[in-house]
Amino acid sequence: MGRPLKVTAIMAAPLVGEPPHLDAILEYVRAAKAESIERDDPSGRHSGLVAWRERLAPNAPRHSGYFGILSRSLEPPPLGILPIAIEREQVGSWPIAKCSSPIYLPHYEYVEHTAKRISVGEVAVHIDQQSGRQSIHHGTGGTKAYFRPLHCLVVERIVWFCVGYGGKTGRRPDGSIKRRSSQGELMRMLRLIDSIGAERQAGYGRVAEWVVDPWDDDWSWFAPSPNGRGRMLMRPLPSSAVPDDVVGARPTYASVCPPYWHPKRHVEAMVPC
Amino acid sequence: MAETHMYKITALSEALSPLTHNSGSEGNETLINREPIVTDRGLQYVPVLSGNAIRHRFIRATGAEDLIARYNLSGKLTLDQLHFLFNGGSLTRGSATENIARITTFWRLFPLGRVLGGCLPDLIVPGSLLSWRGTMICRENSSRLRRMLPEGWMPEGRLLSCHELASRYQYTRMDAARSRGDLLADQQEVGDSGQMIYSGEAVPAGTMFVHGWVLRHAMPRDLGALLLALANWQAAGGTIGGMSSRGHGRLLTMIAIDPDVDQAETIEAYTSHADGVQDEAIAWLGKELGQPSTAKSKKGIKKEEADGATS
Repeated sequence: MGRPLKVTAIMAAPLVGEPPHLDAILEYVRAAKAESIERDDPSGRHSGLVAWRERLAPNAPRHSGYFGILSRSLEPPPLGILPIAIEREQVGSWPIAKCSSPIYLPHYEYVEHTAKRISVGEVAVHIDQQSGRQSIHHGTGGTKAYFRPLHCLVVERIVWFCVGYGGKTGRRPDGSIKRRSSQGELMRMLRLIDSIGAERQAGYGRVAEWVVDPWDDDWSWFAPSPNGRGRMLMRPLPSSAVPDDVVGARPTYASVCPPYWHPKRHVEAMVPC
Repeated sequence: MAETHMYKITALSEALSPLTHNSGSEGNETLINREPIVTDRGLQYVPVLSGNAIRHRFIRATGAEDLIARYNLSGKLTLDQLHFLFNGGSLTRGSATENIARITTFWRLFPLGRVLGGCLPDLIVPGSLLSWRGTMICRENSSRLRRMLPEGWMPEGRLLSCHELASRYQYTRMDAARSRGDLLADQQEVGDSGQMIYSGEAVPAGTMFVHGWVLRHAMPRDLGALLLALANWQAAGGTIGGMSSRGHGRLLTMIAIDPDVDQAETIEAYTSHADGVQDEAIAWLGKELGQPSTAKSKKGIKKEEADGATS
């Protein structure tokens, strides 16, 4: 029996784009430890990621994780093999994590701009003077300048509900496997996540602090409806897994397992609305 | 086999001169870049250094300058190569591909490129660097700072409000026809035009900002590329924002790296690697972004001929 938990990200910078699913963040963190996970996994249940990476990027450095090889046009990583300290439940061929979609309320929405313009001074100093180039176009072509608007959300905190379990990672000096609480295991992984959402390379979506608290009920897939009628859907699920009494859901074609943006992950699904 | 790590670099920067990192204008006054934040008193607009500017000024521009000097490429680069090195390039061909072998070759030859990523004409190359925004040390940010700063970094005592930390600048620009009209051939051109006043908001010297970088999946030589760029930026005056030509925007920056590393050793790992792959790296630039053209364009030839005719 898993332990219901509430995970909170306290934000330190504006959020651009959508916050990610919790299981996607945790798989990203775990992928960087794929070598150690496979070493400590005699059952072979958590193996396969290193072989997948080696197929796509031979001789990549150890602990590279998903870096540089997650792409829409390439084969996605194997489904549900990484231990992410959250329970999964099999629905058809999909091992779906017991965690809700991100829940957040923007205090304020506004637009920031990022600018890019090639410096004419640097060109004048460093360019090959024999090339015959007379001018640079800032309005068109490869050197086109931009002043790109970014839709920013001022969000104080983002919450996910999940059901955790204790991991089995690390070794004691005597060789035995350590066991951590699901809460501790999640905190250990989430501390490695510095920012979420889009434009993270420019400081957006920075997380100041992660908090993991015990929660009384399992609200990972369904939660009580505020008006007491039926249950609310809390995350995308295959249509077959959604009972009739569920409210706040609409049918669409969506992903139910990470990476959520990969075309090969899409399925007939119900999503919260 | 090589192994990658995550490095977290926290930086504390003190303004040595007024900062004019601007965002827009009101009338003829420039406004400093601010971000809305949620505080106990509601939404407040607090000055901030954009992560995009920090990334470019601290790392990419100085790192590119170092590579050009190291490989003796000044005066030999094509526009595409320059654009790639200084601005990250741009996607210009319709048929974008995902070629991991090309990406890993680029990363091996250019550790700075592995840090920052970039865009070849037909391929987007991911980078491993997350650059934080510069958070002002002020009362409005105190609850955020307590969560973000390493232990012992939070200033003690009462912090000033960001509104108390706002100042202004004003300069004038004389009309040369008025100040040195005696040099004009035609004295009738000495008109009534006078000086132009321009002004705006500034963050005063002495203000502190917290910022930093996270380097994911990085090898020590990648960290060395970042640290060398940072050291070169500081040695060249360490400026950010506008009007650095008038002495604005000078910063004094201190860093702490988690996990602790020997900075000189990582820089040495980078420089020796960069020197070792020099020929291969230059050949790669030529292959991916074009060899410098030796043929002159029609316009260039005509211009040269015209210059020759007049001399």
